[in-house]
Amino acid sequence: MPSVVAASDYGVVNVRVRARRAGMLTPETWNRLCTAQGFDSFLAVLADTAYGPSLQIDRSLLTPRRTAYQIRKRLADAYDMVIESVPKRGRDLAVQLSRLFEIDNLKAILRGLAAGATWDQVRFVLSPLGSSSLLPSERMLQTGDIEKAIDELRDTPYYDTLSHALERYRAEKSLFPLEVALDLDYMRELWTRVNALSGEDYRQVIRIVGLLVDSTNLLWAIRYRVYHDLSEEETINYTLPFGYLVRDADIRSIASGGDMANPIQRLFPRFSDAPALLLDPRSGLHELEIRLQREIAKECQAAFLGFPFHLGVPVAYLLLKEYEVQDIIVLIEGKTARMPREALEPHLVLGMARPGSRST
Amino acid sequence: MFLPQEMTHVALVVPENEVLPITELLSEQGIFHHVDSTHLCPEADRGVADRWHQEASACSALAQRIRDLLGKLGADEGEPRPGIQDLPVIDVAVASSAVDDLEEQIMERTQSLGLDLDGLLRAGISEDPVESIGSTGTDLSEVLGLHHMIALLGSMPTNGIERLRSSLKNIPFVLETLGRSERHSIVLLAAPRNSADVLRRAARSAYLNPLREDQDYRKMPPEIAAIIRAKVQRSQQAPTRNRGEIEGLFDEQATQLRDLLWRVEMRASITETIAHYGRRRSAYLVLGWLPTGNLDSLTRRIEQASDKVSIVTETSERHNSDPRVPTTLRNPKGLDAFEKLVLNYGRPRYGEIDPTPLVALTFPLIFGIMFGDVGQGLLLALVGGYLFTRPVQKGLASLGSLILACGVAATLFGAIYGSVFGMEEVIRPLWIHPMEGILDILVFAVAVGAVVLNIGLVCSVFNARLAHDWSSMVFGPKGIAGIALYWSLIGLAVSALVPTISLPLGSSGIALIAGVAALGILFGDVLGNVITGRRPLVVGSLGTHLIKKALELFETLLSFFSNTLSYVRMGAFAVAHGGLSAVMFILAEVASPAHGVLYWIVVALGNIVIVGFEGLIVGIQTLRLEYYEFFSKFFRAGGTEYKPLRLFPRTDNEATS
Repeated sequence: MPSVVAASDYGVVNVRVRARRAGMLTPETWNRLCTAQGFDSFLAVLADTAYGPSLQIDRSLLTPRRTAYQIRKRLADAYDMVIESVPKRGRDLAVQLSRLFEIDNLKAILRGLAAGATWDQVRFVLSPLGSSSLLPSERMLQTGDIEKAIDELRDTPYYDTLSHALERYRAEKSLFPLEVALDLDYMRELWTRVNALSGEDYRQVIRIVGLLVDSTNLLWAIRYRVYHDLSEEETINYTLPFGYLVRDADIRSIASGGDMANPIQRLFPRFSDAPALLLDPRSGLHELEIRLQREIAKECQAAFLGFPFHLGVPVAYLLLKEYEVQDIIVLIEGKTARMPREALEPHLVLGMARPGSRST
Repeated sequence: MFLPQEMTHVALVVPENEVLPITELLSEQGIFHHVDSTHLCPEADRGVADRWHQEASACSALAQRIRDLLGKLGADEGEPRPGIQDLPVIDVAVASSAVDDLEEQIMERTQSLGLDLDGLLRAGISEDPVESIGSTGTDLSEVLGLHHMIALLGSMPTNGIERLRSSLKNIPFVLETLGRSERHSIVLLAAPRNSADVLRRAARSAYLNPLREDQDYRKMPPEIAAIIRAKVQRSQQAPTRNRGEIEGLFDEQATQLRDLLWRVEMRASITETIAHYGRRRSAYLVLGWLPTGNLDSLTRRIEQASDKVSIVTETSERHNSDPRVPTTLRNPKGLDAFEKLVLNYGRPRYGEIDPTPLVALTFPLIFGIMFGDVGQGLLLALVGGYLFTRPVQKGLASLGSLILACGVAATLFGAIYGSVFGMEEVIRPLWIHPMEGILDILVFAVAVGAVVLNIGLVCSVFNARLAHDWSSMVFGPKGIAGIALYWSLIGLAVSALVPTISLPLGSSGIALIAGVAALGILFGDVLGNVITGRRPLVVGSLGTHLIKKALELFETLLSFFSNTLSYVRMGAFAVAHGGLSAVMFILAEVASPAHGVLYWIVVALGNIVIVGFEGLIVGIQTLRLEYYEFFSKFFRAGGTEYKPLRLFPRTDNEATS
């Protein structure tokens, strides 16, 4: 009986998600994109994919930045589709997942305000947001002032967090506390919504989102220690006390100057070279981040196997789509800079797939 | 004084069950220079050394943990208390358990401190606590009289409270929630003042916004005011400690931690030493050196401690050319500065002369020749004497004795040159003013240089004798043949430059000596082998050997010439010193032709500049003459420092640095 209920709940979203997943880029397409000579050739290849319709604007407008913006619209569509299709008990989580792009946009707007940028300079840096978006982006930027911009968020869930963190901004004249406050609040809410799930939904989602939360938390702790040289107590307060496989003791150990590679090796025994990567954390951290995303991508792909009627399938699709868009943007930037394939591949999550291997 | 202390090599075979007490005894005595003997043990026994290394690492980690705890209590490490070495060597597991217990006691007392804090709060709170708190800024400690604590009152996100609490686990603290809503809470956060930095960082990163002065606390939700009043009333009923008791709350734990720290350090030192012992089956092989004079006392102590330890000793002969024999110098306290100069160049080997006493004579002599002035010399001597008797900074005492010696020498030569603060008309020179007898000064300098170099050559002969290197001693370029060649060349040079001087043996006799000496050097190796019976007489082809020796002889002649002439700089600096003084007076004359106050100000400043600037340059030149010209004649250096085992190596190093 629960299976029947699940099938009825997730039947529609399953069909839609699997149909869209079939339209994701194949290894052959990735290969063609990676080997394209220059941005124009790249665009030509991309136009033949599911992203083609998004690129049907005046060619003179298709700058690399605008192209990335158009590509991101597909991601926003994907989120809209999932939010609309999943049952109510999963909708909160899907909305919260989509809010990550709102958070990114908020940060971009605040940085734009700090840099004195105009709306035209910032608009195509922002991710296009779906219909569930609450951000008055343009209005915020037009205030020209960070405190006034935050005031525009009164009717959004972000106002409370940012207005409280404003004290720190005023004292330090730095956006860092504002951005960290947003991140922490986002992750706490995401975790709350994951833990509100039950049964198969919870079991499937926790494997994916749990890994996402864990890797985010670990990378934060390492970055705070390596890049920001924060003290132990600051690092602890700026990280999350919960996790799926990462224990608080792991975070505290990194915060207090312990071995950074140890928790990573424990969670991912495949990462036997983690100590070597973190020998020079400034260069190794980005590679570590990509490899963690690849692990998440593998979990997402595994969600499509077995019993299909659960929240894990649409959540997995959304994350895979996000990584696909991320990889395409990396290639856009790389092709614009005329970087060779070998230089780009280490930065790709899904685009490493070779022709002949299984597609996503 | 002229030779390093005689050393005896000691080999101990120590049974496994005696290795800890014996090592402790050796460390306690502070006379045993240990040598690594792990290379003597079979591969199968190397794992034991690794276990000792691991234990030493565990001890070091535990010591660091104790230091961190002491730091959090605001207590310092102190020094090892007298008698601590008489306690048995502590086991790491026992020490770790003791530290765990103490940590627990500290946490318990911290929690009771939280209750005491309530009591202290009431000291500065009026009947309306809300109004009291509202009258202050961010730091409540002034109003509340918490001079040894720091307190913050503010609002923060409710979902961050537990994270803040966990971020402060390393310090004693109190975190009280005075009012709570879904999103934000009012909290009171307090900690000892020596943890203020940690507290502020944690509060800031937890987004704890201190309540501002412009906030009207009478408009605080009534329930928050009620909570504060209730806390005050409760604390008024509970007995509290006075401030002094709280400040001394952790004294007992700090004392115990200090004791543990030094016992763990002892253990670390002992286990690290054992890790470098050789081992065969169930016995450890301990090798090392100690001064021969201490051998009997150590042997007795070992025999008293255990009758199962085998001791084999061998006093090292001076001709032992092994550089691993440690050397310890025996110079009186007043020669510390000169000993440091020598050690800066290199440590004497066991089988060679310690040049410190010679440097103590030649360094001030050379300095004095170059810097002769009574007034400036006395000034230097005063400065040196002050630094020597009242060192303003650790390590300057020895510099003081060096400056004092140089000042005295400069004063003496100032009298010889007749110069007082650059003025050459105040006293009559015992000899000449340098600027009036430049050639004489230069010749004098070269003559002094020749004597100094000869002292070096004599030292070289003595070193060769110590080393039983008879061939070098007699026929070497720095041996007797070299001395003979050197002096005969000087004689020939003198007779050529000053024909009126008649030399003993005449020029031809001296030339013959020079020739014989040169031949001696040329065939020195062969002759040495003939005398000692070593075969073959020549290694390799004779022609190659002769060419090599001829080049060596040429190099020897060049070095004689260049090293001797190098000392002419002493005379040059003596003349330059006079010249600088003359310039100073010219400038003073320009500043004040009537010799008024300005004249004397310029003279005073000029003297200060000469003492400082030229004194430094002359010091550097003296050092160069010592290191390059003098030491190169006899001093090989490369000796091993005598570093006996100590129970507390870290404190001993700090004491001697």
